[in-house]
Amino acid sequence: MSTDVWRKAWVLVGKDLALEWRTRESFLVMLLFGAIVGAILGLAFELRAGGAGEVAPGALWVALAFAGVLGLGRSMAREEEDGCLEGLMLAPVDASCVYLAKVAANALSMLGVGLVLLPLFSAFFGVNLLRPGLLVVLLLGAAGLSGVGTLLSTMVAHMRGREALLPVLLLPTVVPLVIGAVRATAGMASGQSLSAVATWLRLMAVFDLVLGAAACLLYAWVTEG
Amino acid sequence: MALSGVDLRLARGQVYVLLGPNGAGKTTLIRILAMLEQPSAGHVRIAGVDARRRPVEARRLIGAVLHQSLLYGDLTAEENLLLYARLYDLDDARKRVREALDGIGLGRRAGDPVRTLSRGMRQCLSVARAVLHRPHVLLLDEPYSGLDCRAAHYVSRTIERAARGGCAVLLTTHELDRGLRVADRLGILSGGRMLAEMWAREVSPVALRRLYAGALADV
Amino acid sequence: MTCRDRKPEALIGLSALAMELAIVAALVHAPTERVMGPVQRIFYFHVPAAAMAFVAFGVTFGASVAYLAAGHPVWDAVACAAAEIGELLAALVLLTGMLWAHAAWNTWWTWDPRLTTMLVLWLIYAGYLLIRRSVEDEARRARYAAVVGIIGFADVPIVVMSIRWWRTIHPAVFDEQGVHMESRMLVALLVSLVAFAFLFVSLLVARVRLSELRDEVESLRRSVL
Repeated sequence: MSTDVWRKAWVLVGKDLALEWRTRESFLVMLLFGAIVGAILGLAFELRAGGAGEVAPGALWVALAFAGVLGLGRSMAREEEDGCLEGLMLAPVDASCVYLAKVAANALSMLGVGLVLLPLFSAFFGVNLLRPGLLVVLLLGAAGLSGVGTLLSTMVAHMRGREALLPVLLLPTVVPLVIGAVRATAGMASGQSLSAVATWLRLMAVFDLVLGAAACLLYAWVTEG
Repeated sequence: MALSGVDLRLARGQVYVLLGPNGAGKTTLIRILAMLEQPSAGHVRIAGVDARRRPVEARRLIGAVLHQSLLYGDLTAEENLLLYARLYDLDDARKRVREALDGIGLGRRAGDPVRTLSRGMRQCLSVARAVLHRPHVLLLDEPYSGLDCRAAHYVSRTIERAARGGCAVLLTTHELDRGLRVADRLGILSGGRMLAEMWAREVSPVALRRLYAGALADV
Repeated sequence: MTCRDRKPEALIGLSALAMELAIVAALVHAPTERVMGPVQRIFYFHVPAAAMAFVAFGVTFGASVAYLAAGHPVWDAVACAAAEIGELLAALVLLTGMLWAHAAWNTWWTWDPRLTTMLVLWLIYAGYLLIRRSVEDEARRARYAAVVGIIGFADVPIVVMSIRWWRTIHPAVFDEQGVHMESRMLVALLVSLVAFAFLFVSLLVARVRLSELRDEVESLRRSVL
């Protein structure tokens, strides 16, 4: 891809970050929602299982996936209001460029939420999730959620019942990603190195690349009116 | 709304006004020309550039004002225009944005979020956004709806200036008088078909009104 | 490209015959399995249904690509028909799997990898069918459905892989050493596989024909009004 695409994608990412910085609404809602999911899962499992630490990796990724769905919906709602996404499609920009920029912006906010949730879930579930290797897992996970989620949220943006459609479409699709993320997180929480969980990281990377490439190619078909 | 057999030619420096009732297919036509929708048959050519084969190049030549403002409510007027200036690869982005904002009398409120501007101001900004990159073709879908006199005046001035600069202008409206005032050429669209085309200088308001009513009655 | 003039009745009759044969082969010809007893016979329907479900989702994928490339509505009808049949077959796999699990492990559901995979696929394609119901405009519905059909199938190998790595307790009938099955059992399985293939094709043809007739009725009604 030409430098032109990257430059414009960067302009678009900057626009999304500026919007988010001005209102901070989507980030705060995602964060709060992630924390609520964590608290509910913590309550539900600790009362029954005793070993809350075992469910921590699963709880973290359930919370992140749900918060991600919320963030994707909000970010698309902002594009749909006043027809802004159409404005972008009017400009001499490839659909794939708009896609890449939205993926990056959405992934960044998920990554931000993940970074705050790590210490919170460490406290909630009594495990140590504050390990640098988890950054890699968060990054791969956020990229995958955002990669598929951006395509699907753009698609459902002007459908009735879009708030319900997005999770119903997105969550089954990201099952492999979540499996990999949970396993990698669990491994690292118990002190394993990055190379010990390489299988799972590779699985996540394959998911990101295959579905990201497919979504990038298909994006032009969901932005057309 | 489906269109059929519409063959529209826009000439440089000419203002073409498309008249028609609601649901006539005006918006669909504008959206196809703006390359937001693919026609199931037929093609769009802009200054010799085939829209389907070289979309990015063609988009550079088009400016469009649609029903919605296409502006981010939480960004400032200046940020909105700067965003588009960069997407259109304008070299003197800041200077042009500055001029555009002064041109619509928004120089002082450049730093205010678009959400806080009046509807008329937003529409002016939306038009300024569409002509920022000096397009070869300017498409405006009902640009006058719900505007106060000042904003409407600005819109008309922009259209005149664009046409004088060699731009082909197509605008839709259902207000006959306003349409006749700005038009060089007029077309009446109804039920997805072009019912009549005429030169503005060859038709009087009364004749146009009669023609329009007659054309609609035939459908 | 139209199935209008070809009558699917012959095909349906043929698959009914094949299905009879398969039932005889599974219930009479094949010997009773020593450990599991008669309940093992469910296997002759479970496995072919699973195989044809994968084929069906593959057909949805192929037809979706063809629709986006060529834009002909018949591809959309094929994609939709195959997805509906695939969902039906996947549901059959899940049901027979649950019956088997109850007999073998005394539990209605196990997170066995293949059953879990089928569940995830069922959910992904339920999303595909849901999208079809949520869009009114025909061209847009076809385009969006094709996007989901492609993304869903790109996900299939990753889902299979991830869940296999995740856990494995499925009775392995085929492995590197070849087939562990008596020849009469193999015959029953193959006959059933052929019967399911016939069933799939005849349902597909009938369903596509139904779509075409429905479109024709619609266009006739439009021309009259």
